[in-house]
This record gives sequence, structure tokens and C-alpha cells, in this order.
Amino acid sequence: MSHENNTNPAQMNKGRRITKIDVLQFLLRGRAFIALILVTAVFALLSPQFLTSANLVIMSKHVAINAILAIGMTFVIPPPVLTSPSAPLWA
Amino acid sequence: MIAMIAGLLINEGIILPQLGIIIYPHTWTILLISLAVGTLAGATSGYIITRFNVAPFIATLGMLYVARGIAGLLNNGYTFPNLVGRPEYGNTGFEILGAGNFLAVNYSIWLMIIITLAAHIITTRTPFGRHVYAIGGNERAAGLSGVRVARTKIIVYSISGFCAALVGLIIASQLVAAHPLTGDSFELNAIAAVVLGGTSLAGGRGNMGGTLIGAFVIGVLNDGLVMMGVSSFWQQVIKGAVIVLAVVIDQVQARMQERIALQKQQEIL
Repeated sequence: MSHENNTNPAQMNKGRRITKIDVLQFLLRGRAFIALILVTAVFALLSPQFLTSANLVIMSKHVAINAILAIGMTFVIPPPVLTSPSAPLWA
Repeated sequence: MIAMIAGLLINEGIILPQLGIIIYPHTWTILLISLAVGTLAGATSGYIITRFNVAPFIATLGMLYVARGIAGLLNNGYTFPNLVGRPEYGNTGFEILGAGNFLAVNYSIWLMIIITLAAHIITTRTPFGRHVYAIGGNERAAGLSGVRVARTKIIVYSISGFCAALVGLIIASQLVAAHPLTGDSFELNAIAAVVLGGTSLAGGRGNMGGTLIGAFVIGVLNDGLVMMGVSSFWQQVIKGAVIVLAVVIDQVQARMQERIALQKQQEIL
């Protein structure tokens, strides 16, 4: 990125200015994290027991179950799910 | 694949006590057998998918129903209660996995951390990880560049099955019981976590850190909704909507990145 900016003055200006697209892109890229903060904030506001340590411990146990499953699935999802239509061509 | 995971999960919870009750192997042996069965079921799915060109979704969905059916058959649909084992058979201690702590943190959380780290290292630092992404990006191109596609896919499904089996063990251990329907709707949670984490359903993109955050979102959402007393039917509605929304946002982002990349290309030219 910086390398490109040095070679192209027009791009250098563009890289310095934070455009609307940059912000949008940042928000989209960090959407999981933003969603986490939002969900936590909403429930913390709605339920006083939500942010107690006892509840957080219980929740992290549930998260662990989801997370291990989801990690196994992350391996599976990138490759074969939707690329399969091309498979008969060569396999 | 989603499906298979839930199926295995149930399968695992069930197979385990069955072995414990009838053959009475040692607790560690039970754990190993369960994980092996899960891995093998994953490998079977992978083999069917690669060898016979079955659509992955169909193969894993079929595997889910097979596994779910077997889970029911093992004890005629009843729960295996009280999985504490008996000292004279040497199969006690199973409940420690779900209830025990190491450095004041539950074993399941340690396992989550270890698995995430391991998966991260595998995907980012090993040739195998590169191959997985390559197949996800363009299967044919990967095959032509010398990636052993079938083998990689089977390994990938085995990993998925292993993780599912591990979750099955953790749940059975936490409940100290195994019910054939334990894993119901777990596939929905897992896929929601993956999609929220930014893994592209079109393949070739995604990372383990994102998945972990996605799992946290889903976990917090689940427990929060339960605490608020939201009906379980509404919970399903909300989770389904979250999945679709996550995919929509993913598509929007992908299109935007494409456009930006195109713009940059034009500027350079």
C-alpha cells in the first residue's frame, strides 16, 4: 500500500484523506467485533445480571462449545461448499 | 457439513456411555474412541464427497440423519443418565472434562483456546493451510497446481468431525448425561458463528480469529435472549435472520472490495 502511494502522487493524497468509503470499509471489516459490542451492550442494559462474573463464566462455557464447533466448520466452509459445481469438470 | 457436525455430536454423546456401560473401557479410552469415531465419520463424509462428487451439503446432511438415527438406536431414544462411571471398572472421572478447572478456568475454555490457536497456526503457517485456502478459492486451479484436493478435503472434513466429537464429549460431560437430541440446532449456532466471523461462503476467505469472535456473538446472543425470557421460537427466528443478514453484509463487502480494487487498477493505469 505505502509502496504504491510513493509511486503515485494522486494515490498518496487519496490515502491520507479518510473518505466515507474507508470508514464504511472499516466498519464492514470489523463487523463481528462491532456486533459483539452491540449485543453485549444491549443485554447489559436490559438485564442487570448480564455482566455479573458468574454469568460471564457460564456464558464463556457456552461460547467454548460454539467456538470449537465453529472452528471445525471454518475449515469446511472455505473449501468445498459452493465451489462444488465446478468439480465435475475435472474430478 | 453443518449437519454432520450436529449429528456427530449426538452420536458422540451416545456412543460414549454405551461403551462405558457395556465394555467398560478406561475413561481415556472412551475419549479416544469417541474422538476417533467423530473423525472417522468426518472422513467418511469427505470421502463420499470427493470420490463420488456428491454435493457437500447433501452428503453431510445425509450423515447428520444417519448419525442422529444411530444415536437414537443406541438406547432406543432414551437418555444415558449419570455418566460418572464406577470405580471398580476404572471408568470414573468423565465429568471432570465439563466441570473441572485448570488455573480457575474451565477445561472447555482451555480447549477452545488451544483449538483456536492450533487452527490459526494450521491455516496461516502450514502448507496444508495454504492448500485449504487454495481449494476454497479455486478448486480446479488448486488441483492443477499440484494440490492434492481429495486428500486435503478428506482431512478437512476429519478435522470438522473431530471438533464435533470434542464438543459432544464436552456437553455430555457437562450434563453428566447423554441424550440423543443433545446436538439439535447446534449446527445453526456454528454456521452463524462462522458466517459472522467473516468467512466467505463463496470460499477462499476467512480466519479463525473472526470465527472466535463470531462464536462469542452467538453465545452472548443466545444466553442474553434466554436471560431476557425470549421464547425459543423467537430465538430461532432471530438467529436465522442473523445468519442471513451476516451473509448479506458479507456479499456487500465483497462487492465493495471488488469495486475499490477495480478503481485502484484504473488509477494506476
